[in-house]
Amino acid sequence: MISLYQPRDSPIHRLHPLTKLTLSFGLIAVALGAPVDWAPLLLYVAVLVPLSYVAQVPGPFLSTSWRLLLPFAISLFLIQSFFFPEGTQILARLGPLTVKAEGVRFAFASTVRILLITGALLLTLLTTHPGLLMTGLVQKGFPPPLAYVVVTTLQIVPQMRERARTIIDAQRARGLETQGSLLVRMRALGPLVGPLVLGALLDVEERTLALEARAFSATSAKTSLYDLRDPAAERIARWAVVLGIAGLIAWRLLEALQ
Amino acid sequence: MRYGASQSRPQWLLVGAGLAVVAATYLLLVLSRPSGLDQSPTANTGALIALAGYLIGAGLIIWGVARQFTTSTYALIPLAIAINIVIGEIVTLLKLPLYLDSIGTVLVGVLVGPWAGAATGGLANIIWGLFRAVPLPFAVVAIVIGLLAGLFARLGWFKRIYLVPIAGLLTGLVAALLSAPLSAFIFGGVTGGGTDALVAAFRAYGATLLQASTFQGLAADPLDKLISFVIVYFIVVALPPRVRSRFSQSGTTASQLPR
Amino acid sequence: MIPLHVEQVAYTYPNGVVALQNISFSIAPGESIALIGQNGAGKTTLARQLNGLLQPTQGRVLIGDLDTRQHTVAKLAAQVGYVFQHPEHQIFKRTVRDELAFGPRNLGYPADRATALVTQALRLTELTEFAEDHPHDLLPALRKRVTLASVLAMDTPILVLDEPTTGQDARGIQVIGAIIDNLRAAGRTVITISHDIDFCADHCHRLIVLGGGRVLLDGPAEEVFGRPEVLEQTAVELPQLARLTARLGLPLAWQPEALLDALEARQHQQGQQ
Repeated sequence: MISLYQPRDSPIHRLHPLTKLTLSFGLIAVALGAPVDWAPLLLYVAVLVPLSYVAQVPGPFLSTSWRLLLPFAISLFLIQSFFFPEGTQILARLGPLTVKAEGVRFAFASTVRILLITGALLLTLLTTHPGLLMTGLVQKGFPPPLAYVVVTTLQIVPQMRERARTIIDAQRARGLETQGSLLVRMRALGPLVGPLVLGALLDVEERTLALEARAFSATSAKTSLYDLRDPAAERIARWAVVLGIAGLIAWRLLEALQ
Repeated sequence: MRYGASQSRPQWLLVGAGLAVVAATYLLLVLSRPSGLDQSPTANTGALIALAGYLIGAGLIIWGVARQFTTSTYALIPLAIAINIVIGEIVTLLKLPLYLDSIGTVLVGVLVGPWAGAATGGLANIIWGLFRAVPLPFAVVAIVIGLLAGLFARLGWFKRIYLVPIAGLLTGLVAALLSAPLSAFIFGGVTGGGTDALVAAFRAYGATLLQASTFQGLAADPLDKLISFVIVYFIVVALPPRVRSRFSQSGTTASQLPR
Repeated sequence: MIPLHVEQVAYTYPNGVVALQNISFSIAPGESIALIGQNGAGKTTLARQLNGLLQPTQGRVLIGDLDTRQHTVAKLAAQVGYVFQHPEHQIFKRTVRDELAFGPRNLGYPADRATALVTQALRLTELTEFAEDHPHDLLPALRKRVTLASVLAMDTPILVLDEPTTGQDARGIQVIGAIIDNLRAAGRTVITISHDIDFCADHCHRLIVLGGGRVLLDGPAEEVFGRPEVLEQTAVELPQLARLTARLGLPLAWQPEALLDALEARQHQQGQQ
């Protein structure tokens, strides 16, 4: 199964998956609801980074977080610093281009926003096994067939990648060019995509029979192999966060409508 | 075998509410902040509304259609999502200037029906989100792609090769319009990819951020979906009869698929 | 027709697994080689060096005078045909005939030559009557023969067959065996990777035994089968008849005629005593 999950024994790992998810969204809401544009950065540094140490995953957390941010940050600072027609304060001139203060500020605000949104979700994903995440959600009323779809997909992707590699080899061995002009590379799509999709559709029959043999049904709730603890304190915390998020959104919405 | 079993209906209340939330969010953002920027540069209100509206909308739609499919559709969806992911990787390997990461979604829409396509798209982005977080807010865009692919197939547009690119084009158009506010308000108008140069160009000519994001989407999505739809057409055409007959019993009838 | 040289080839996968060490051999036109050894011995890794799908981390592979490191797989495909094990990994056309035409078209053959090659490949694999069928509507054994036919149609001087007999019925095995024999008679080189030692014994005159990424044995069948203690290291069993001759205390033989000769010779001997 592919996932970002890092197995550790930490208090954060032991939280109910839904609690982590709710807290992640709560943090995102607070960051976006705060009236200052450095709020997301503050929350990232003061909350997420310390929590990643508590969860014993600071390395993967920081590296994944920055890897996801980097392409956005580069684009944002390059584009919004130089091309911000709404801006009036000119910071510098580089030939025909002008760097505007409002543009730099906008790039900064957008970058830290993306940093916090991705970071908050990452911390949950790094500390929660996807199977457990789905079990936790199903426990709380998430439709079981959807949980099946998510978990199965995570298991299938590596097999499908392996199959794609073999298909590429098999077609190259029959003289298919995969390098060269755009036209040549476009024409390689059919012979590569065709067998991959055809093979997958042929698998459906077998997988359906396997599911039916296990009495898979869209309506029944699954009894879980995992025993997920969900203490009262966590339940209360979740409701509090959900109400907080709802209140914040309602407040901002009313403000926006005026 | 339940291949031919009729599907139950979506829970219209949930699905309708989801679609309404998404539409309202889009209109609110476009009407109240036509520039794609918050009035005060320190406010993240646009981002909050965009994120909340699109996520809640996507959640309601997925929830509303979750329990209605046949077992074979549930078996198909994970394969389709894996197809999205792996074809996306093949496209990167071939260094093509395209995404083609919704071929599985379109395929399910065409073979099974609009709601199955919608579920596939939404779940695909949730699963992408488990690795990159960024695709999660765009789930509703993927839902609409699967939904439209299914609707066009129901209308018989996949029977004739010349209608297929038009269906793809229209779907890409809707996808571009729908994703622009997300891109502008949450991601500052950029995607972190090569097409960001277009945003710079449009901004240089004085376009607002929302316009620039929309134009960028329009430059990429319609062509990408056009090619995806055409590829799906050729896949369906090349399907062995026994596979095609199995799927054409549920949702789309055989006469609506190409011969 | 061209020779093939493997010169001190070593291969280490990007993940650090050493798959091949110091492998050298040459194959002349008209040879039929079997690559045998247990799973993980390096057969497939070695075979994929032969058409450039993998490139040696040390040493070199020469196909005629083409160094595999200097040419794309698509270019080398005109010299070395590689038949993959599973048809699902390559079939994507609507008819068997179209599937067969894919390779010749990639190699840029003129239309009339391509058509002739496809027709011939259909005939050799006994698929002519299925030419207009969808490949996925064929029985698995026939579908697998489509993959062989699709490479035969490329008319390459060298052919690599990966487990050609798995899933084949007796007739299929006969057809494939005959194809190998004919190719060899026509001066082509055939390299067969197989667990089917009886098939190798019948259709390959030279056996290369791999174990732990090295060549353990390389020689004519009678020489290789005479070293059961080495074969045991890589879990290769002798052909059934050869095991029978060993149990009977007869001189080594694995063809029915040879076994009969040996039995007659022994009766004759016993009769004289």
